Amino acid sequence: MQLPDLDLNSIEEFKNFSIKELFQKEYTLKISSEDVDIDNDDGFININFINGIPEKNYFDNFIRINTGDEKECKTFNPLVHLNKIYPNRVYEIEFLQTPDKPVKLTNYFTDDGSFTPVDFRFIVKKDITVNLLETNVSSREFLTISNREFNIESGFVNYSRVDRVNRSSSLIYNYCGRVISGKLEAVLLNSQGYITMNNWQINLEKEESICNIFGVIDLDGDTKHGTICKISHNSNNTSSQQEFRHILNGSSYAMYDGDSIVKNRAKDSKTSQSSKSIMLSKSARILNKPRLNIFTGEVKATHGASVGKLNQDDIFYLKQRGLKDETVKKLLVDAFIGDILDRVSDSKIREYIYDKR
Amino acid sequence: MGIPLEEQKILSGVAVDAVFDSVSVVTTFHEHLKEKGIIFCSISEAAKNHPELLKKYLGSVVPYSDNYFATLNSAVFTDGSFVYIPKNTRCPMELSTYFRINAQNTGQFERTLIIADEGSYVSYNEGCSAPQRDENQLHAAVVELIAHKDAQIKYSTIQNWYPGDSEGKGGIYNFVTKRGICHENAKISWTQVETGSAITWKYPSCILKGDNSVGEFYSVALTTLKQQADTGTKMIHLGKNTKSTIISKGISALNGKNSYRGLVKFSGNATGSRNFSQCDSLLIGENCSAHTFPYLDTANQDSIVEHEATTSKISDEQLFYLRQRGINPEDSVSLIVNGFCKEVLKELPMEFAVEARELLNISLEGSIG
Amino acid sequence: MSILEIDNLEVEVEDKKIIDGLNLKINRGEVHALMGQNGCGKSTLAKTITGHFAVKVLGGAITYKNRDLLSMEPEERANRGIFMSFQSPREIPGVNNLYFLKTAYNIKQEFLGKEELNSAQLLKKIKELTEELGIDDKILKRYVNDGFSGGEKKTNELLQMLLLEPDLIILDEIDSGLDIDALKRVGEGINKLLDGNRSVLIITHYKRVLDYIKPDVVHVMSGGKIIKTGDISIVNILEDKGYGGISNATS
Repeated sequence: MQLPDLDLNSIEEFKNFSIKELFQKEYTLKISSEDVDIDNDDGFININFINGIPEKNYFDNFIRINTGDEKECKTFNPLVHLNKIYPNRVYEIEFLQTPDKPVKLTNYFTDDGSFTPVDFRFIVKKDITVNLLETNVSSREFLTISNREFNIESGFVNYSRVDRVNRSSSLIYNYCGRVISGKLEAVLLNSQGYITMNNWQINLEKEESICNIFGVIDLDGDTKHGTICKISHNSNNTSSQQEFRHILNGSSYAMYDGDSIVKNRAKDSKTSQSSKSIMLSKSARILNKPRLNIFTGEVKATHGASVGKLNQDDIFYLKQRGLKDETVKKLLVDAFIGDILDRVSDSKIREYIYDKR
Repeated sequence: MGIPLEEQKILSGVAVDAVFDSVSVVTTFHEHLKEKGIIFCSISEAAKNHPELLKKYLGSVVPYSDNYFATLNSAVFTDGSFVYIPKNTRCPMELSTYFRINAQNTGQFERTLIIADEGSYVSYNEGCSAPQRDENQLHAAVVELIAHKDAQIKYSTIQNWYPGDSEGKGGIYNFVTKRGICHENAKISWTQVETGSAITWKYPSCILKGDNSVGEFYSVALTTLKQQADTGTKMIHLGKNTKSTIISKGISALNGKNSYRGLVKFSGNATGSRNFSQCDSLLIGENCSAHTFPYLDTANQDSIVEHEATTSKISDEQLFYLRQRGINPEDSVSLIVNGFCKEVLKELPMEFAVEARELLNISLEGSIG
Repeated sequence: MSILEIDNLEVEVEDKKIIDGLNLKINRGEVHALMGQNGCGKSTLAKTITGHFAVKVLGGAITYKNRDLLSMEPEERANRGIFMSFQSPREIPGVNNLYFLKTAYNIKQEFLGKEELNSAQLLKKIKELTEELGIDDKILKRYVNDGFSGGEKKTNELLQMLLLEPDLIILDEIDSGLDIDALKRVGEGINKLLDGNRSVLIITHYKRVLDYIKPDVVHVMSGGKIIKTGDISIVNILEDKGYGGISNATS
C-alpha cells in the first residue's frame, strides 16, 4: 500500500508515534464473502457490521442507520481524512429515543491482509441516553482506519470499546466530535493488536458539556499504542477528564499525548489529565506528554503522570500468602486498573468487558 | 562607571565579575580566592593564564553546533566568566556575575564556564539588567557547568532584562543555552527567577551522566505586559540511581504568556532513578495564558517519574478576604504571589531572595485592575 | 453614641434586589443579633458593610464613626476597625499564617500611626493570646486556612480578631461547623474584647450562639428589611413559633 501524501512529521503529535510501517505492508481492499459467526447477545440491542457493511437493515423505534453522505468530520486531524483516499461510506447512526437495552456494535473483519475503513457518525440529541459498546472481532490479520464522529446535543453517551483481534492486526481509530451540552464518557480497553492508536479530538461547545475519556493500555511483545487526546473547552462551565493506565511488558511502546485547551470564554471550566504507568519489563518504554493550554484564570486544571513498577512489598506480601507469581501480578494489575473499569456505568457492558478482557 | 545605586548594593559583600556589554569589567575579591586556588576571572584572562583548562572544557557541554543561538554565541562571543574550583575545596563565598546591556542596537553574547573539580562546592549567582530601549535586543548566552565526582554547583539567576512596554515594543530577546554535566555523585542545582525580557527561551539542563548524580531545577517565571516566557529544563538520566527534581512556578498577568516545557528522559541504563516534577501556574487577569508541556520519556522499568501540575488564579474572594483584614490589593497580590513562589525562593541565597521578592513586587505593579 | 448607622439601604446582588429599605443603628458598646431565615439578606448586609465586590448599593447610606462608609475601599474599612469573621474563611495556600497575621497587624498599626512589631515581638503577643484561649499554636506555622478543619478556620478568625482589636465585629454564622467547646471558646474570646466601647453584630440563623454572647438588641430580618426589633425575648418567640410567628405578629 502506498503511503498517502500526509505531512505527518510536521505535526507534533505524530513525532513520537510513527505509523509509517503500516504503509510498507501490502493490503488488499478486496473482500471475500466468508461466513461469519455472529455473536448476538440478548442483553443487548445488537448491531453487526461485516467488513464495514451492515449485516441487515437496522431500523426500529430506537435506532436508525443511514448511509451517510461523505460530509467531513470537523477536525484538522489529517488521519481522519485518510479514509477519503479509499472508497468508504459514513454510516450515520441516529438514536431516536433512549434504547431500552445497551447497544452492542460489533465489527467483524473476515479477510487476511485486508484494509477496511469503517466510518460512523453517532447522533444523540434531545435528552437521549445511550450506553454503547463497540467491539472489533477478527482472527485475521487486518488493518482498519476507522473514524467515529460524535454529534451530541443535549444527549448522554457512555461509550466503551473492547476488542478481540489477531495480534498482528492494526487498528487506528479517530474519534472526533462535539458536545453541545450533554456528556460523552468513554472507556477504552486497548485491542491487543500490533499497532493501535486512538486519536481523540472533542470540542465542548456549550455550557454544561462534559467529556471524560478513560483508557487501559495493556501491552506486551513488540506492540505499540498511541493515545492522542485533545479536548477543547470552547464554552464556560465545561468539564473534561482524561485518565489512562498503562501496563507495559516486553519491548512494547506506549505514547500518551494529552492536550486540554481552555479558551478565554470557557470560564469556570474544569479539566484534568492523568497517566499512570506500570513497567513490567526492562525494555518497555513510555512517553507521556500531558499538556495544558489555559487562556483563562477561572479554571481548575490539573495534570499528572507517574511511571513506576509494581510495589515490591505488595508482591512479597501476596507471595508470602502463597500466591503464584502470575496470580500476584494479575491481582495487582487488576487493582491498578480497577477504578477505570468501574467507570463503565452500565452493568451489562461492564460484565461483558470483565468477561472478554 | 555609572553603576546605578541598587546595583552597587549587590556588588558589596560578594565576589563579583561584572560583564557590561559582554566585556568583563571588574572582578573583586580576586586575591582572597586565589589563596584557595580558586580561579574566578573573565574568559579572556583565563585564555591568557589558564589556556589548558579552557581548551579542555570550553564547548565540551554545549558544542558550537548545538543550536542556532549557541552557534551564534560561539562565533561572536567576546567574553564571559570563568570559574575553576580545585579538588576538595569549598568556595568560601558566593560568586556573582552581573550582566548589563548598556549599548544600543546590540546583542550580548557572553559565555560562562564553571568547573567544579572532585569534591568541591560553589554557589554562583548571575544578575541581569538592561535599560529601557525601543528596539529589541538579543541576549544569546551560553553557560556550561562541569561537576566532577562528588562536586556540587549551585547556579542562581535573577533575570530582569528590559521587558518592553505594554504594547510589546522593545525589550530583550533572551535566548540562552545553559547546560551542566554531572559526574558520579555530583549535583547541579539551577534556580532562576525570570521577570524580564520580551521573550525568554531558556532550558537550563542537567546531563546526569555519573551514577547517583542529582539534578535540580527551581524556577519562577513571571510574564506581564506582553511578555512571553517559554522555559523549563531537560533532565537526561544516563547513570544509575540518578535523581532529579523540577519545581516550576509560572505567573501570568495582563497579556503575558507563560509556558513550561520540560523533558525528563530515562535511558535504559538509568535504573533506580527518579524524577519529581511539579509545575504550577498562577493567572492574574483575563488576557493572559499558561501552558504546560511536559515530555516524560521512560525507557526502563526501575525508574520512577512523577509529574504534577496545577493552574489557579487569584480569586476575587481571596483578595476580598485579605482586604477585609486591611491589606491593600497590590500587597494582597504580592502576598499570594510570594506564597506561590515560596518553594523556589527558598533555594536562593539570602540576599538574592530579598532581591527576587522585590523584583516580583515591582514587576506586578499595575497588573491588577 | 452610634458607631454604625444604616439609613434606608437598598442593595442588589447579581441583578437581584436583596436588601430593600433597611435601617439599623448600633451604638458603641452594644451587642446586636440579626436573625432571619436563609436568603433573607443577612449575609448580604455583612458584605455591604465590609465592601464585598459582588454587592451593588442602589440607594441609602451607611455612616460609620461619622464617616461615609460606602465610599471607602474594603481595606480602609478594615483599618478603621471593621472586622468580619467569615462564614467560610478563604484558603490562601503558600502564605504562612504567622506572616499573614504580622502583615495585617502592622498595616493596621501603621494606619493608626502606632509602632509596628517585629516577628519576635508579635509572636510573643500571639502566644499570650493562644495560651489564654487554649488554642493550639500549630495553626501559626501552616498556610492561611489551607486544609484547616471548620473549627480551626473559625479559631483562626478569632485569633485575627483578638490581634487586630476591631471596634465593630461582624460575626457571620460564627457557629457553623463549630462544636460546643469551640463555640464556648469563641464566646469567651469575644467577651474578652467587649470593653464597653466595642460593638458586635451577630448574624445567625440559630439561637445557639446567643447563649455564649448575650445580645443587647435582637433584630429579625425578612424580605430584605428588619421586621422586628426588641430584646432577647424575641429569640424565645422564634424558638416557640419559628420565623412564621414573627411575620404573623407584624402583619
